Amino acid sequence: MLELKQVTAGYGKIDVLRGVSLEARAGEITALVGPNGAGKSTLLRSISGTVVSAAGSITFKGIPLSGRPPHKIASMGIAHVQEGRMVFGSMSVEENLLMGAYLKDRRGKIKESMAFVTGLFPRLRERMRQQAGTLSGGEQQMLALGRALMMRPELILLDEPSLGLAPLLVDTIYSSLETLNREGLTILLVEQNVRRALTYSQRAYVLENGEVILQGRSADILVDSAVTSAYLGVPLEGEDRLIRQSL
Amino acid sequence: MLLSSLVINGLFTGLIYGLIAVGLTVIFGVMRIINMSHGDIVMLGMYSAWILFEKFGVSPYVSMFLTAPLFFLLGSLIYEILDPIPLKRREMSSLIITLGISFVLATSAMLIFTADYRTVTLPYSQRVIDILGTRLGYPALISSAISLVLMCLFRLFLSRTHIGRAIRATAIDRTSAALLGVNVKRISQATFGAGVVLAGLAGGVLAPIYYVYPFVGSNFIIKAFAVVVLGGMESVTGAIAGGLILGVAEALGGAFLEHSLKDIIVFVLFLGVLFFRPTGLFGGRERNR
Repeated sequence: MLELKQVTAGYGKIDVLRGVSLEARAGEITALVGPNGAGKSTLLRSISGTVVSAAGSITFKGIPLSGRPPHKIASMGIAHVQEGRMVFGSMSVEENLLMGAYLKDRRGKIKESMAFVTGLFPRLRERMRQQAGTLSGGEQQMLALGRALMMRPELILLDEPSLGLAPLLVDTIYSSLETLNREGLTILLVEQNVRRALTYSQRAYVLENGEVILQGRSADILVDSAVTSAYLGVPLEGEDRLIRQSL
Repeated sequence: MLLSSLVINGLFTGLIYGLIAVGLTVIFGVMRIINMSHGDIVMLGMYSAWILFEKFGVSPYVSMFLTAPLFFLLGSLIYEILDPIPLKRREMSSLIITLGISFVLATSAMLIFTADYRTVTLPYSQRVIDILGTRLGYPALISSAISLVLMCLFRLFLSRTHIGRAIRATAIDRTSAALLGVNVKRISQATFGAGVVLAGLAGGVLAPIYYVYPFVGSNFIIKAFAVVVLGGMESVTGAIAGGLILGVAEALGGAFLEHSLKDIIVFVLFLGVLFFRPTGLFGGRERNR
């Protein structure tokens, strides 16, 4: 569904991605893992058009994306949930969700989309009139995801959905991702929590210093924990969380 | 004059100040552009109302809506000049460019209309109405009422329509808005157009109650900035509140200070708020971006 070939991208003269090739297959969850600064977020940004790639090709359902502005790419059915959630803080939950249905051909289906999103995250229904900035981190993540779903995307790019969330909420978010995926949504997932990402995805790419150093079926990569810890220095999930809390 | 009539007069004037400031606020909020030519666009609104009244006898309260599309066009054109400036350098560069536009507009008006003071005298200009013991001219009343209605409508537009919400979303976080399908450039251009229309409409309501002359805009830009500083850069409600405060403060100052010192009130308020509450009286926090 989504294919990147030899993509080079960055900020100014610095290349963050150096010839990355990657594929997200229709109906699958594809995980993108790797240490901080590996270029995971930049990769998502170059797909959604918020970073312009310098070389290589990005195609979605066979259509090239390069050179298209973000709002055009969004209208093609790609939603990008940025790291740090980025909800519109001074707008209400409802207004945030309505912004998800901003594109003209999505407006006709607002009712159904709303029902779907509030069915998935009942918490949002209770908070409809509340300002988004006053929600808890987990609720904001649900809102960011819900807002993206209002776009009725075919592909969703998710950047660190578990960042800074309590374990219980991470479970909620991931079980909703499973549900969405079962209903046919294709997901490209960036996650620092490597174990979590590999458990929930079908295929995975390991990115380091802007290059893909490992790719394959997630289950294989997960089993080969020697490989992961060698390449990534990944601590066990418990330690991982401890480290993050101490930051 | 009685204290109560000073306050009432101030409140009515304040609504018009609010209308002038709303356009400035929305343009700054969405695009980080400080539009120094805002007052001169008010001036253009006043002159177009005056011409249409002199030549065709159309009331400014009608003609202001007829000329609104032209103001939208003017705003879109000005935005075309400003759009290429990268966001990081917007605040300073746009200030200088729009200051240039301000000079061009004011001196052009001088060339075309000369420096004469013009007035729009409506058939009911001399009629007054009594509000709680305060005598208020018909035009002042109508102008203030129209200003209030326009601000309320604009507020509804921002909160209830897809485009209005997109304008607010773009002001908060343009990247997130773009990712949801908002064409940020087009929304910015439309916002600039709307801000200029609001300035033009303010000119329309001012024409019957104020002198029309080429450099009248400089009076209003200072007041509009004071209102924006008072109310915060965020909202229409802030602009209404800021306008009311300024109107009342000015009316009271005018009564108790010597006439030549009257304008000092604006500056004292301006500096005082900037010093003690840099985010405005009602602006709680810095925007999230």
